[in-house]
Amino acid sequence: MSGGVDRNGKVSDLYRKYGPVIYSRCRRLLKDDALAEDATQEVFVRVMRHIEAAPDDAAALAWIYRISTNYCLNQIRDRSRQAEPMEELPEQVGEHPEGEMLDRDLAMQLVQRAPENLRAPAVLYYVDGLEQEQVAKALGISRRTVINRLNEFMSRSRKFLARGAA
Amino acid sequence: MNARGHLSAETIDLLHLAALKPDQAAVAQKHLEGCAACRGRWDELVSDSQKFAQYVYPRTVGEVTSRLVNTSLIDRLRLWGFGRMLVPAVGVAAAAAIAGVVVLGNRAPVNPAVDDGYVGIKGAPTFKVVAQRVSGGQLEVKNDTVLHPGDRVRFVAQPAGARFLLVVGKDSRGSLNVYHPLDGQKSAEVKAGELPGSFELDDSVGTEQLWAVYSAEALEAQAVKSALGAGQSVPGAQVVALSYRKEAKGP
Repeated sequence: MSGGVDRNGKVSDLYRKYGPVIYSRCRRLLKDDALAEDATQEVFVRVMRHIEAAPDDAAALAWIYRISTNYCLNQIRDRSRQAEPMEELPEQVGEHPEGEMLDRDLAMQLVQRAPENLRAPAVLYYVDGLEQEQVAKALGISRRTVINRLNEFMSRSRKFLARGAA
Repeated sequence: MNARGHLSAETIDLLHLAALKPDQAAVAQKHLEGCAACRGRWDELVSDSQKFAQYVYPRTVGEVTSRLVNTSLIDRLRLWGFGRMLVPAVGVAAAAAIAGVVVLGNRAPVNPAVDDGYVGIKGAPTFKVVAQRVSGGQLEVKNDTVLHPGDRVRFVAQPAGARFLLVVGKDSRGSLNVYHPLDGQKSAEVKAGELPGSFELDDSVGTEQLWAVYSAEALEAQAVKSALGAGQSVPGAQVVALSYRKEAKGP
């Protein structure tokens, strides 16, 4: 019985500690308070065993980024299947998206148009501002793969924006 | 600072967690003072943290701890994704064109004593059907959508605080079947998102119905089917009803 109580306390302590970071991240990606609340619970439940085993906060965050990014992108994908028109891109965008990527909204709109395998690296790099090495660590893939996927994402985005500007 | 001259999300999060070394924290704080973009991110995180502590944590900590502390081995396997492997993609007489999504009957919250505020803030649960055309392409099934034999459908649940879900279908011949948990005797715990498995539409045509029955406690499938079949409300549940029709594909 006491073991259950201890475990309860540990879970709630970790939820109190990491929940805000997860919630903020889900809210940033999903842009919806209620969806972010649901997502926070799901991500925390999935990430809990990794957090418990993580040697430090940076390692715990890497798991949080990985799992929350995949979860939220799946939610966004499901929402985009609801046959609602995709949000229009802003009119004032150039042909060189690297400079525009500081605008997270634009980055997220381009992410939603990208193939699935490019989305998570693009979110972590352009929306979260992680370095390539950190993206690789968070997603459990090589840095070379990250570079290739980011290059492909940028190439597609450049073409897409050029078409829009034409 | 990252190569683009800004703090990464990791640095900002670690600063918020007070997990940076003192010298790193000082550099990050100094950057925040002079960078509007990073300051904006920091302020957003602080604001979200306050929201989490004030509203989200109190509402959700009970469910989160109970899911993590009291889950059975089967639940844990399901939680970690093994459920998908155990659920076969079956061809059943599920169907698909939705004629209306309505929360039926008992509009009372799932558990007023516990969830009133929660449901009130988050709204009613929803249930969506996504169809994959046998001819290619996919769509959310709507009122006037016509689906055909061979199309596949998936379900997406948003429980809005409800813990359990039972999905019941009634085919054009009037037979009632449980689609989630597949052929289950009781409703199953549900989390927001896509339900495991997909269903291929059979050759029968006509108007069919789906009910997503959300509840705070697990409900007996037989009792739920009896109530729905008789056109009655389901005590202790919020029901999302979808009616649809299915047509044979033209030449």
